[in-house]
Amino acid sequence: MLSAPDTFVGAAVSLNGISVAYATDSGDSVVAVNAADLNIEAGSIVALLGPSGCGKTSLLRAIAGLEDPTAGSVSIGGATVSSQGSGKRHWVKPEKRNVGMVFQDGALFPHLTVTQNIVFGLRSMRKALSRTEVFARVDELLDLVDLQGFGNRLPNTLSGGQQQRVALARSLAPQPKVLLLDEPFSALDTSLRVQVRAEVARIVRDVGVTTVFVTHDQDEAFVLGDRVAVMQAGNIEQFGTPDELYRSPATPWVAGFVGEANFVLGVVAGNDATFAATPIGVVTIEDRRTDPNSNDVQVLVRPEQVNLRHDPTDDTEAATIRTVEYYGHDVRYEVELADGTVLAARTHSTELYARGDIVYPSFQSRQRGSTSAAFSVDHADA
Amino acid sequence: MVDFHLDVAEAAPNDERSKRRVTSGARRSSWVTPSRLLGLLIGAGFAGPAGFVVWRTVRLGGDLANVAKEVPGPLWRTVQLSVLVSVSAAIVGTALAWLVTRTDLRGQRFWRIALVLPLVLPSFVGAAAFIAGLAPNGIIHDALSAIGITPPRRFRGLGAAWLVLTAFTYPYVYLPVAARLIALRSSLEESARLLGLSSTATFFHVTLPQLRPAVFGGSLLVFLYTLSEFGAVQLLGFDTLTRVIFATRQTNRALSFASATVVLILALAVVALERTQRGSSRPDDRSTAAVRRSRLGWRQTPALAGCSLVLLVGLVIPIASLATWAQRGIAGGRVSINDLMQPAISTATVAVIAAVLAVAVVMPIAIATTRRPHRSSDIAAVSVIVGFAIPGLVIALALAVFTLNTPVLKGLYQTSALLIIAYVIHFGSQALASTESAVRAIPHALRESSRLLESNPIRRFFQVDFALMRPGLVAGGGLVMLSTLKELPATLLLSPIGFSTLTTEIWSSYEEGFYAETGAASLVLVAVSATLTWFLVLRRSEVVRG
Repeated sequence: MLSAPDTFVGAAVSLNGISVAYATDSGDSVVAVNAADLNIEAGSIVALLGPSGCGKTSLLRAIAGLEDPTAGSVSIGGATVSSQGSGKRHWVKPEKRNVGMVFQDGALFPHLTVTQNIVFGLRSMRKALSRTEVFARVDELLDLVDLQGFGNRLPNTLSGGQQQRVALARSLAPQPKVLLLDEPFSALDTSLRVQVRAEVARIVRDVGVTTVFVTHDQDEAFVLGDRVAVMQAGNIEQFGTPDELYRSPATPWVAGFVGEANFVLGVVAGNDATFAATPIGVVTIEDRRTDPNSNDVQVLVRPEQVNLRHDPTDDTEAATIRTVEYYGHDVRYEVELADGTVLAARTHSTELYARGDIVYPSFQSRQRGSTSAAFSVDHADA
Repeated sequence: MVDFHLDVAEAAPNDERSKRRVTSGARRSSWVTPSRLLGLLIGAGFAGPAGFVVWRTVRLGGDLANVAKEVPGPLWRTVQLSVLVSVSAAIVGTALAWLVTRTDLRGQRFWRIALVLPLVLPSFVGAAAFIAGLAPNGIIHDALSAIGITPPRRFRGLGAAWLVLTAFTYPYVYLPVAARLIALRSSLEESARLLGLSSTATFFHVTLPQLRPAVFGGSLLVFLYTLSEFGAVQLLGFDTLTRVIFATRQTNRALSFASATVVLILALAVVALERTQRGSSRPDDRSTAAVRRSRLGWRQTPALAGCSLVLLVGLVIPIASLATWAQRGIAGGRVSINDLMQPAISTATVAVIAAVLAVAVVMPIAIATTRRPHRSSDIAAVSVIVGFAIPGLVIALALAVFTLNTPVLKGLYQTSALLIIAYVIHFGSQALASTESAVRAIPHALRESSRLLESNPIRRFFQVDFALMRPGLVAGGGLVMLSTLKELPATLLLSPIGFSTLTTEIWSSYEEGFYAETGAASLVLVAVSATLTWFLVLRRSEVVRG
């Protein structure tokens, strides 16, 4: 197998103050990435997550050398491959960076067979390898992506999922230190996407290559990524593990982007300001990202942290069920509080409510993660 | 096959092709339906002249000794010139297309448009412009003398023909290749770079194989154009087969027809060869990401110089040369624009009628090939293309001899109706591709729903079908019109006595040595054809808009 650690070890990637700008036809310059810093550990899988146009693909392409940053530096495995701005411009061409990339469309060469596509990736080492070694490696790679016997097929005779697996095999052929994936699953339909992405995850973990992938799908980022960089408007808003992002988002925007978020108004109480009184009861605050002089906060409450009851308790208000979405394993409700605030709640389907029912929503405080983040009230953009 | 789209935006969805395969069961059904018979009949009309030439040659044959003596020399020159021009046009066209789409060439938007413009000059007008420019008092002669270079005494022969034809035909390669480059996913080239190839190696191993169909298709057009070239090679004193056909058409009909057959076989052989060699890869995707452009660096200056040179030779010098002669003529009162009104009006009238007729005639075939494909419609479509592949001169010769020898049709000879028929046969295939995509632009579901809403089929056709097809039909008809404007040999051969078009006017004034008249008439022609090119080809083109 290719996974022998001595032959195939990923490299750390570090980005310092990377900016990417494009010139438009009218001569203006549009900033795609704005002074981004990112340190990626060797052998880890990192997702760049964000809405379209946030600069995630530009950042990925800057690592590959397909984009020429206007400022900042990129290093791979400790060696600087691009640096701009202060001092002399340093630039390593994309073909010299030992970086593999899988494109959204696979980018298989349509005039070459599957085998020829993979051999293309072995070009750089073909001098060192004999003909039999080259074909042995192709077989190994086809094995790795589970496409034995497809070597003589042309790309357009393969399904979308198969094409992406060939693209992966081709990009791994020259044993890159870093593998970049640009929305590699977005062209596939839903059921296939889940399957192919599980397979890709298995392969890159087996191989041990440092992997950076771009996605706009939060599920994908969380399922595949060891760490996720959430980007918006050219900036990296937060870089952390999926759990950190979900439990302790840096901004209300990140909170809303990585999952469904309710924000309820509360008043901070307690000695260290670790509690907030809200219409759905007292919430423990773990991350207080607010102005210390103000006691008014907005508290992040995930839908699964909202408990619905038929009976009132001391510190909760009555609310009306507005919508019911039944998913089988759970049910999502929208409930409206007396002041008009609408909260989303997800509960197990053991107890069902109907539209119009009066319920008493409360903050679920008996499970892991029963704490929350609080933000300044003027963060109204969530 | 011969792709006349150049790159006029084709809205046809790709899935129509796969649908065609699904419905192929229908192909096995009967040949004898009214629409299929109509299609075959139209096809026969297009292939008719070719068949007539071969049949006539066989009947007139027997003078093989004469053919063996007269044909090989011109044939060799024809082949030589056609191959040289196709190759040089392919190289120039591809290089320019790459420069304007894949590099940081300065003034890219300007070059993209400007480099298409030599298309507006008929090559014989270009040749005349160069000769007139090099004559004493000509603009090139004076310019060269001014900087102390002795102007060349003569501008003729293979080298001159090669230069002139390349300068005016490379856009046939440039346009489809640039369009293909714009549509080509840049991820292919980027993948190659990341797999370790330099930018040069990437061009040859990845980009060029993707461009092959476009380069081959464009070069085929150039080859056929050069093969049927008559005016420019005549002016430049390069003796090719078309001269033999034209010169011997009355004195030695057997030789004339035998030469025509040779040209015809050559044309069809090259079309067939191109079909087997072009490869099957068609544009499958539009590139979405911004294309990474190669930095030209120090090559910026040579690249700009190259583009300027091409534009100078293909547009600026000929136009300037024609303009100086025209201006002198008008200033000296020797040329009056009013004299050109009549030929201009005749040209426009004939061209418009030919265009409308061509679209109408190929419409049944276009409908059949896109909606009810059958072997009969394939045959009909190929016949239409045969009409383009053979030179206009050969079609004109066949039509002239055919009508003269057929008592019922004798009245057609020397009428503009016969001239229009020749145009339709020769240029009909230029309307076919656009008409096909116009038909494809009407989805099946739309036709079904319109059927439920409007029961009158005629009203339905005009309110729905025609309205949706109009842009495609205008584009197709426009290409026919443009070609008709620039056509010379068929026009010379078939024009009724006293009927003159701009091309015949240019030709006869040049032959009589009136450069001033040549210049004025050419400028009018260029103005008309430039306007049409802009509206029908360029404005809709990805190459210009992109």
